[in-house]
Parts: sequence; structure tokens; C-alpha cells
Amino acid sequence: MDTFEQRAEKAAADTRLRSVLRRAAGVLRGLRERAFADFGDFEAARTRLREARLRAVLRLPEMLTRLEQRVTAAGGVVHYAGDAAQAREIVTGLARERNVRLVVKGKSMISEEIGLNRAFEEAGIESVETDLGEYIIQLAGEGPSHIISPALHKSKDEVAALFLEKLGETADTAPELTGIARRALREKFLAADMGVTGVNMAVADTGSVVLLENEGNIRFSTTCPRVHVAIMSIEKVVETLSDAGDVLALLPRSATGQRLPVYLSIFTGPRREGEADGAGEFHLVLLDNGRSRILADPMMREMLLCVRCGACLNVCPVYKTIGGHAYGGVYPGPMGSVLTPLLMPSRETFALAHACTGCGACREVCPAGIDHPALLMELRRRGAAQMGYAGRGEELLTRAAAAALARPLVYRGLMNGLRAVDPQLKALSRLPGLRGFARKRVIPRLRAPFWSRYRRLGPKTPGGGAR
Amino acid sequence: MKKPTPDTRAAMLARLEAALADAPRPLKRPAAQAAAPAAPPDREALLAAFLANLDAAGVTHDTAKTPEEAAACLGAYLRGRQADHVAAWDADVLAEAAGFDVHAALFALDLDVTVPAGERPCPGVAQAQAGITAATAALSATGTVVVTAGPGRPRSASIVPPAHVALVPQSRILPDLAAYFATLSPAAGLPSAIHAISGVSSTGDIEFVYVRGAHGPVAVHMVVLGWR
Repeated sequence: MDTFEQRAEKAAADTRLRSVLRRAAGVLRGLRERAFADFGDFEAARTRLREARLRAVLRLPEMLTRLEQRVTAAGGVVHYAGDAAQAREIVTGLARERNVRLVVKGKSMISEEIGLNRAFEEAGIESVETDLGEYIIQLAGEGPSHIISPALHKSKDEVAALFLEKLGETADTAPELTGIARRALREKFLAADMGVTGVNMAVADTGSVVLLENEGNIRFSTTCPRVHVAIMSIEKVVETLSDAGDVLALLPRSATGQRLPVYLSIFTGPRREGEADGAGEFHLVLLDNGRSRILADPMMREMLLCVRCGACLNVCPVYKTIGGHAYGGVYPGPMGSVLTPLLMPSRETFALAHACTGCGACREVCPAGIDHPALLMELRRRGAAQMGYAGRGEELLTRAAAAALARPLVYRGLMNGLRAVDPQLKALSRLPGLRGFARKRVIPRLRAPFWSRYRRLGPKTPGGGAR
Repeated sequence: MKKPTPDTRAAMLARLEAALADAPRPLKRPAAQAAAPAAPPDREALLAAFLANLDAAGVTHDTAKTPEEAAACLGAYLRGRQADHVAAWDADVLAEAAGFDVHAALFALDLDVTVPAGERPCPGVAQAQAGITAATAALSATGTVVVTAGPGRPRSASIVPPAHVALVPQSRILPDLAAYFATLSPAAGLPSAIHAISGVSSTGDIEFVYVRGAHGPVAVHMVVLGWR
């Protein structure tokens, strides 16, 4: 396994990927900005969303039991999964017990997190991703590179080649390629026995799950197969429909620049007596997988307010440089850099906390008002404290650097010395312990202070005014 | 693999309780602001904004003043799409929603009408060129039609055929989603499925090129029933 630094470096050197990312992030960012241009009071709406989420997250046991009670009353079945393995076991078990051979799936980050497709494969059950972007990356055998637009790293030509290879059919334009996928997936929708979706939000008071999409694949997956399994991470609950409304006021705008997505669906239990279609069974899987640990953390609890809009990815200079795959997990960008080490603490995942320039653009756009840079700074500190140093050398160097940074005179002296002797840090990068650090850095040349340049400019521009 | 046990639930809830032991109490829900006696929304203004937002969302529409006019609009639209087979909600449900016998109007056009039924209704509905439904509500601010599932109100009619035609009684047009949510009562329970549809099925997953007709209807048409 290569490290995050190695993957990031490789991705950053890929000029084709970088131009794709720049364009994609630009498009998504533009859509969002246009949606908020005539929005009115963003801060007030953000406060309402945040408070709606906080009211639920700070009463999570109560919200989940109420949700369970209402879902059950509506005829649905609620399953609790402590970790990814349990969730996989529940979902594949439901499929096996019903002799399900074909599953159609809506895009769901949770199913990526628990590795559901792999589990279906091992159980000998065909599971087909039906969101176009997810379908593309499933055919390519890749993971999503963006939480909203999973195949954003793929060019049209790559999709065309992929379709030719996997489906034996191809085309030149996006509409024709979409048509090929539409026909291929239509067959699956009409034949599938089970639909699996994520959940954008659950409403405790009504026992409902809310799902947002533009393509209609979730509608097919919940309308035609006889079983619907929805998987949600436990924090995605809100108390009331009005709270859901507060989230919906910002979520689609932040994600895709839409006031509402094409399909906003609210499901309360399975199909009822006398109804001709819709899944006859509704199962809701509540997944913890590390979230109760995050909830116990007074500072990091904040991250459970995230509504997964992806806005922070599109503005992040690090994401725009390295793309989603380099992060190595399911969740990329600022939200992923916080969430991944919290969900799966390790030396490797804590490296993500360094994927931040501290610019704060993510915090500005976040509809839940999450301060990602502050959380990442804390995670860097914890990474050093809890995950230990790579070796005695790193520890010594870190201490030395801290000592120098705490003493301005020493720091300035060191910098001036290096600037005079080795501004490119060539000598330093030959030292084994410092190589990684020094290779990518130079000592910046200082500009002469303004007063001295002003004196030189002085005579030419009398009065100092601009010409 | 670990097998989930009934204890999983108790253990998870206990973990969450423990996690929140020192947490601040959640903020009190702000008292619902004594809603300023809202001026009754102007029927015509709501309609005008609704139609404008339908245009923006790429949804076509007719406005009919009488049942005869509505039947004629429906016929003209379906003939325009060269439909000979439609999937529709139950005759009773459509008649009650629209105030005229919609099925009779469809038969008069010499159309085959499928009412989704049976073990697997979707493949049959997929043969139809249009699905006919009626709106529970419409949202002016977003050009949205809300269709709800129920007996005689199959979900497939609004998603499986390549065109979706919704009959919208004008009195059902509300300002926005919040206004629609306010009409729902948790105590009374929600329908098994609520679908708020804004525009046509679409995707931008290949290089952000907007493509109409991803999986669902390529066309959505609304017939506003002005007398209802």
C-alpha cells in the first residue's frame, strides 16, 4: 500500500487529471454560486439547518427509537448494525432469505463505506449500480471520486471506450452514451428482486426516509422490485418534517445548485393494502460503524451535522489538485479528511488531516457551518500525540522545529542562513530524514521592505501619487 | 462474519446514551413564530409563477377552463406524442381528482389504457408511451408536481413510461415545499410514498453535459384544471 503522500504526489503530477478536476470543480462551484445568488439570507438558513441537525444529533437515542417505532408502525422493519460487517450480513442475509438474484442499487456513500457490492458478489448475488456515474465506475472497477458526482474523473471518451469494452456498444456523445446506459439498466430495473438505496435524511416523527435524485433510478429501485432496503448512518435523522424542510432549503442548492432535485421522494413504510406497486417490504438499516465514538467526542461531534452535499470538495484547493481517489477512502475532500480518520483511526488515515491549506473555503460554503480547518488542526495534533512518530528521528526533528518556531530570533537566523547558503534546500534534501520535507520546499526570497523601495521610487513619482 | 443479535440494538443505544452523557442540551425549538396572518395567496399569481417555473424546468403545460377543454388538451398532447397505449391511475381516482371521467376521455381517443396491476406491474407499464396521474399538490416556487401513492394511485405511472402527464387542479397549487409539508400530519400518517417531481429525469454524470431522460420520463406535461 502506498501512503497518502505518495498517492497525492502522483495525482498532483497527473496534468490530465488536474485539468479535469479544475473544470469539474469549477462547474459545480458555479452551479452553487448561481443558486445562492438570489437566495436571501444564507446565514439565517444555515443557522436553521444547523439547529435542526443539532436538535436531532444531541438526542440521537431518542430520535432513533422514535424513528424505529414509527417505521415499524408503518409496516417497515428496522435493523441495527454496529459495524460494517453486521450491515453487510443484514443486507445480504435479507437477499439470501428471499432468493434474490438481482439487486438494483441507488447511489449511496454508506454502501461504499461498508463495501456492499463486494459482499453481494461473494454471496453470488448480482448487484448493479444504477446512478449513471456509479454505473460507470462499477463497470470500470473503481471507487467514487466525488460524493455527488462519482465519475467526475472520467472523460466522455473514457466512458465511450469503457461501454464498448463492457457493453459491446458505444457512441460519441453524452446523450447517446446515457441512452445506452438507460437501455441496459431498464432491463435490470424490470427484472430486479430487490432495490437498495441510501438515505439522505430520515424523519423521526413520521417514520419516513427522504431520498433526493435527478435520474429516477432510485424511483425505479423502490417502485419495481418487491423489496426495498434503505441503509442510513445513524446521524442522518431529523425530528420533524419542518426540520427536514430546513435541511432541504440548502442541501440541493449546495450540492448541485438546484432549488429542488428532479425527484424528492419520501417513503413511509412499504406499499400498503390496495396499492398496485412499490416494494412490498421495507427494511431500514441503521449503521453506527464508529459514529457513536464521534458522538462522544465533544469537538468532533460537529462532523455528525454533515449533510453530504459535497460543496466543500468543490472549493477545496487540495481536492482540486489531487482529486478524490488519492484520499484513499470513500469520503474525499475536507469532509472526508475529517471523517475518515475519525471512522477508521490509523497512522495512514490521520495523514489526511494534513490535506488542508487552512484557507477556510470549505467552512464558508458548508450549509451546516462545520469548521473543517479547525477540526483538521485538532486531528493533526491528535495524530502526533496518539499515532506516534515514524521514528526517533522524526520526533527529534519535530521538537527541533517547534523550538525554532517558538523563538523568532533563532527562526530568522536559520532562515537567513539557509537563504544565503542553500535557498533551494538542495543540500538539506540529501539528508535522509529531511528528504521528504526539503525536496518540495524552497526558502522564499524576501522582497526589500516597502520603505526602502518607496525611497527608490520616490523621485520618479513626485508626491507618491499614481500616474 | 459476526451475526447481528438483538443485543446489537441495546448495545448501540447504550453507546449513544453514554456518548451524550456530557453533551450540552440541545437548543429549544424556537417557538413557531406567530405566523403573520398570511394574505391568502392570490390564485392567479400562484398559477403564473407555477407556469413560469414549469417553463424553466423544461415541463410543458396546458391550462384548461372546463372538463371538455382538459380532455381536449390531454388528447392533443397524447396524439402529439403518437401514443396508442397509456398507463393510468384507476378510473375512480382520476375522476375524483379531475372532476371528469378521464378514462372515458382516453377511450374516446382510441387509446389502450393499462391500470398497473398484478405481481409485477412494471414491465407492463413499460409498454405504455405515457403515464397519467393527478397531483396531490403543486409547488409554485419550484414548478413541482407532488404525486402520492395509494390505492389506485400506482407509483410506476409517473416514472416508467417515457412521458408523464399530470392533471393539476388549480386549487392544489401551493407556494412551496414548506407549505406542502404544513398540510401533512404526522399523527394521521404519511402516504407510503410521496414524490415531488421538478422537471424531467436527467443526468450530468458524463462531463456535466445535461442530458434529458436518464432513466425516467423524457417529457413531463401538466394540464392545469382551472375550474378545480
